[in-house]
Amino acid sequence: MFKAIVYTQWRWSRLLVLAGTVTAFALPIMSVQGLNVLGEAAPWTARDILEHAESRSVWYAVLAGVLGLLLATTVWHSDHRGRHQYALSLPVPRWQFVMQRFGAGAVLLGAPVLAFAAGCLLAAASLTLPDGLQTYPVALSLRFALAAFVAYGVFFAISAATVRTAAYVLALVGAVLATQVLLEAAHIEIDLLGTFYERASYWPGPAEIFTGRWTLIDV
Amino acid sequence: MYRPCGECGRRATLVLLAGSVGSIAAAGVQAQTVEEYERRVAELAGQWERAVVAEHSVIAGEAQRDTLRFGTLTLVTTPSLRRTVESAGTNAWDGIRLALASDTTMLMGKTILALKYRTRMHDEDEAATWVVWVSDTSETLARRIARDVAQLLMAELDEDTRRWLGNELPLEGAFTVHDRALFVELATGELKAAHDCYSGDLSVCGLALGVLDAEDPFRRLYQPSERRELVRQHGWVLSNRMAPVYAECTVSQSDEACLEWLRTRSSRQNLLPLSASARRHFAQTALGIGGGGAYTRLAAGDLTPIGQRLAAAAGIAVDSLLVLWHQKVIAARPDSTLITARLGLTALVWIILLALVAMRSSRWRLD
Repeated sequence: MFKAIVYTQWRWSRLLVLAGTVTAFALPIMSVQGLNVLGEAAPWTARDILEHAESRSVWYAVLAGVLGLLLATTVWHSDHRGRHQYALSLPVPRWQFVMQRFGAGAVLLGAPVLAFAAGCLLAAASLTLPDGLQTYPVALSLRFALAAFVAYGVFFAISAATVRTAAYVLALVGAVLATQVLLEAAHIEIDLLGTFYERASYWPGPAEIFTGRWTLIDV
Repeated sequence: MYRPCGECGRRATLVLLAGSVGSIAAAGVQAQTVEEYERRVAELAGQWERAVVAEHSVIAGEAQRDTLRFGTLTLVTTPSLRRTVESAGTNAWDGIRLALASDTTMLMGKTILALKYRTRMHDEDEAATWVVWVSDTSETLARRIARDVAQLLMAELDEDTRRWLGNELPLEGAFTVHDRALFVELATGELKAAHDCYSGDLSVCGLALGVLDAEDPFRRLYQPSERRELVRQHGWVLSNRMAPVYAECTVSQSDEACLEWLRTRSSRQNLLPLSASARRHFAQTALGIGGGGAYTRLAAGDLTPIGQRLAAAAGIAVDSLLVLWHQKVIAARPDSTLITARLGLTALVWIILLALVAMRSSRWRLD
C-alpha cells in the first residue's frame, strides 16, 4: 500500500519534485560562483569570501522552507478534492493512512535533499580557499534536510486539518496582528509579534533550525 | 573635628544647586554678548563642580568604612555594601590567587575602594575607586574587582608596555582574550601579515605582534597597497615636514615615500597589523606559561624590549613562546554551529510532534 501511495503522490507532484531537485542541486553551486579567485590579480580576502558566502546563504533556508510547504500541500491536494472518500474507504486505521501519506511525502522530499547534498559536495570540491577557511557540505546538507522536513511537518499538519481549524489558526494570527496595531496606536509598549517571533525562532521553537548561520564556507 | 551631619550635605548641595539655577536664570536675562555668555557658562560650570564636590565630600565623610581582606587583596567599602562586596571579593580572590600565584604580593599595600557613589575626593594612593550599582550581582562585582586588580598591576608597568597592551593587562576574569576570537582574527584578517601568521610564518607573527624586531619591518609586514592605506589612515598625525612625503605616498603612490613616512613614526603600536587583543593574548599566553612570578618578571626591567620581557615572564625564549602561542591559537578553531546535537534533536522532535498533530486532526477522528 505504501508503494501505491508513493507512486500516486509521485504522479501528482513529479514536476514539483523534479524542479525542486534541480534547484536544490544548482543553488549551492551557484552560490559559490566567482569565489574561486586565488591566483587572480586582486584575490579576495578571507573576510570578503565569508561575507559573500553569508549573503547568499539565506537562499538555502528559503529553499528548504518552500520545498517543505509545496510538497506538504501537494500531498493532501487530491484527498481534499475527493472529500477524503478514498481515505475513508480504505481498510486501514486512519492514523496509519496519515502516516503513510507523511512517509510518502518525506520520501519524495528526499530527492531534493539528496540533490542539495550533492550540490554542496560538488561546490565544496570546486573551491580553492585560502588557509583558515573551510567548507562544511555535510553539516549544511544535514541542516537543510532537517529544515525542509520541519517545514514539511508544519504544513502537512496544517493541510491535514479541517477548514475550520485552518480558519482558527488564521483568525489567531489576524487577532495577534490587530492587537499589535491597536497597542502601537495606544503607545503601549508590548511587542506581541516580537515575542511570537522569539518563541518560534529560538530554542525550543520549531523555526530555530531556519535561523542562525547557514554558510557553506566558514573558519 | 568633623562631625557627620546626615542632612547637612544634602542641604548644602540643594542650596548650591538652587543658587546655580538662579544664576542661570539671571544670566539669561542680563547677558548681551557671546563673550559674556561664555564667561557666565564658565562661572556656572565652576559652581556646579564645587556643588558636586561638596556633595561627594559630605557623602564620603559620612560613610563609615569597612575593610575586607582576602590574602593580600584589601577592599574598603561601606557597611551597607559589606555583604555583597565580601561575597564578590571571595569569588574574585579565588581566581586572582590562581592567576597570580606568588605575584599576589604585588597587591600588598594597595587598596580597592568600593562605594555606592563615585567620589572625586578619594585618596590617589587608593589607586581605584569603583561604584557599586544597585543591580550589580556578586558575579559582576567579582569581575569589577578582577579588572581593578588588573589595573593596579598595570600601574606597575612602564608606559610603552601599557600602550603595547592597549592599557589592559590580561588577568583571569579581566581583559582576557579568548583563543577562538584570535583564531578568527588570524584566519579572516584582511592584511597579508595576519594571513601569513595564521599559515605558520612565525617571524611574521613576531613582527606583527611587535615582539620581534627586523631591519625594515614595514616592508616585511605590509604589501605596497596596504602600506599606502596605512599611511592614509594615520595621516592625521601629519607634520609640515612630512606633508610632501605623505602626498607622494597617497597621491603619487610612491611606495618608497610610504615606507619613509612609516619609518618616521615614533610609536609603532598603532601600526602593527595585529590588534591590541592579539598582543594581549600573546601576553596572556606568556604569563600563563610563566606561572608564579610571571607578573613580577614582566614588570621588571623597564628598558628591555617587550619581546624579551614577555620571554622572561614566560621563562622561555621568544621563539619558543611564539611556537606555543601559535599552536594554541590554531588549536582553537571554533566548532561549526551549522548543526549541533541540540539543534538536530529539537528539529526531530518537532517533526515527530507535527506528524502526531496531523494524525490527531478532527478530520480523522470519526471512529
